[in-house]
Amino acid sequence: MHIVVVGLNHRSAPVHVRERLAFTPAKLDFALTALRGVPGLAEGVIVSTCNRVEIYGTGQTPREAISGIESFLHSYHGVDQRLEREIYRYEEPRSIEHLFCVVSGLDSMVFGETEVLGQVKQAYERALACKNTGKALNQLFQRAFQVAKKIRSQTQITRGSVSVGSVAVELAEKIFGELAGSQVMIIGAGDTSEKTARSLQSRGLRVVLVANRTHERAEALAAELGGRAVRFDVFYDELVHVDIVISSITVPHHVLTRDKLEPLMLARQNRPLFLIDLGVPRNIEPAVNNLDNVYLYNIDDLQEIANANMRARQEDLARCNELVAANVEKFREWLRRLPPMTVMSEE
Amino acid sequence: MNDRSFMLIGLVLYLGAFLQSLYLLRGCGQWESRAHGPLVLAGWLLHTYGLFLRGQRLGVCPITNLFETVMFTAWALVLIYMLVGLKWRVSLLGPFTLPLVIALCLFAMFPAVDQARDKFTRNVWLSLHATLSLLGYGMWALAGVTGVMYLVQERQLKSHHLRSLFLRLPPIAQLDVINLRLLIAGLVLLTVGIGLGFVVGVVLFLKDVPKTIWTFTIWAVYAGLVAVRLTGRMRGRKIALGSIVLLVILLATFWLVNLVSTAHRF
Repeated sequence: MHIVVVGLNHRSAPVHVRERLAFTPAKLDFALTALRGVPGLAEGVIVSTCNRVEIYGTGQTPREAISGIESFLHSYHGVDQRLEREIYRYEEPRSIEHLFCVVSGLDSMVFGETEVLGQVKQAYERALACKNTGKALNQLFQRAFQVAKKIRSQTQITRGSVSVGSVAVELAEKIFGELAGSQVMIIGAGDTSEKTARSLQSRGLRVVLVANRTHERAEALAAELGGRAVRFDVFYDELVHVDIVISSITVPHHVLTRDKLEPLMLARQNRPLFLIDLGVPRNIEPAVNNLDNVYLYNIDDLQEIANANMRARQEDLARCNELVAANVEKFREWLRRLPPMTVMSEE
Repeated sequence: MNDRSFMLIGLVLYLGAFLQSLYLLRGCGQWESRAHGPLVLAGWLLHTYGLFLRGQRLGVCPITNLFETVMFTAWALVLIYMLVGLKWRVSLLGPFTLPLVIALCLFAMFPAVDQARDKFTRNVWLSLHATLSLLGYGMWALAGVTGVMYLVQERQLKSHHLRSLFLRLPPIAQLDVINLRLLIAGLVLLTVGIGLGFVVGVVLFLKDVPKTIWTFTIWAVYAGLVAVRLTGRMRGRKIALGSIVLLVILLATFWLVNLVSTAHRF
């Protein structure tokens, strides 16, 4: 019994190709049933996310299984042109190694991300429910989930955030703990501020105030975020109630200074204030970071933390590869002892 | 095996749990193994049994000399740490608390510290007065520990240099709240303890001037710290720093005052 994988991902194929070969969740069961008819294939699991479309399968002869899956991909999606360069076709041991790397986030666009593990788990469960898996793939996927867990706990590849938005969220959580009761104010209705505010909202933050020099734009963004627009000339009064300020406005001078914030902190009873300055030139005077309970980060600070976290993740790549290689070998030993299985179409 | 032996094995287990945490913290995986909690609990149970044996031998709560007083305070500190850790799931509280516990136990284990007293009170109310006061000090000791954790985390947030401890330490808001609760709990316990001591042993209380002045001064400074925190005039770093400075003063002066004390000489 041999394990193979045929697929394409963010590195091998552009998005317009990936979307053509993607399997929508609504039609996945139908596709899994159709996969059963592929000649030479004993088992099959379809993994389809925004960054990858992959079909894992088993067969007596790897070439036949790969060819069957590839034909299925083309015929199912009605693609006439043969995607020679976009599609990768792996036999053992690379096929096993590839799955272990995918579930561990080593093959992801954002190195070390963990979302893919949940997506592969769901894909496997759907295949299991459709009776598309047998002993080999069941064992393979279970092993893959164990490897992902091991890599997560024994290395740094999932530690720390690697994007500006997620670094801001992580910092906010280390200042306030739960974000559910926190309030955020956006000064300047820019794109980066909106994205950062949305990242914070995804972690439970509810109340959003928007202040912009053009009040109509503030109202529009506030409506989108489910928040409230504040007039730019009075935004300062609202800072007493706010916990997080995201500022990205183009102004020649600082909109928040130490002199203005110092008395405000007393009025706030010294509750912590997290200031995220995404503006260039900077909107907030750097000296405010010297005030007690005020935490100021500008765009470079956030980017530097994201880069440092990414470097730490990549430094652990060798350790991850060792763990993957050791587990691939163990799994192959188990696979060699497995008796031959019938193909799905013969069942 | 005698009471000291059980307490010594308890100390070895605390040390083992601490060294294991240090070892795990050097790595990049989880800092806490499954063995950490059971190790501390086993150490505390042996510590408890040792104190129980000592109490049984004396016929009173085992706080009649400096050894017993310090061991009792360390015991209370571990108990409060376990309860706080259980209630609020405070990550890394163990590795920050255990050094203080170990230092207290090591100090107490010096043979010269464990001098048997010929005379000590068997009055239940006075025993309760001492017990509540020591539990209060235990609360303040843990407040000092959370203060250290706060300063470490706050330093990283202010400097923008986030080390591996950053992800493992709790949010500063949580540390600030726990610190305040411990300060208040310590204040309440000490207030009741002092109150009992005053009602039951008013004569001794008034005669023992150094201890009385020391106790009221410490109580008043802690009460002031709680007051400025509750009114919001100070919060975060200054309160954390206050908790640490007061704990150092408390530890440094407690035994000194006992040397010149009449009714509280351990």
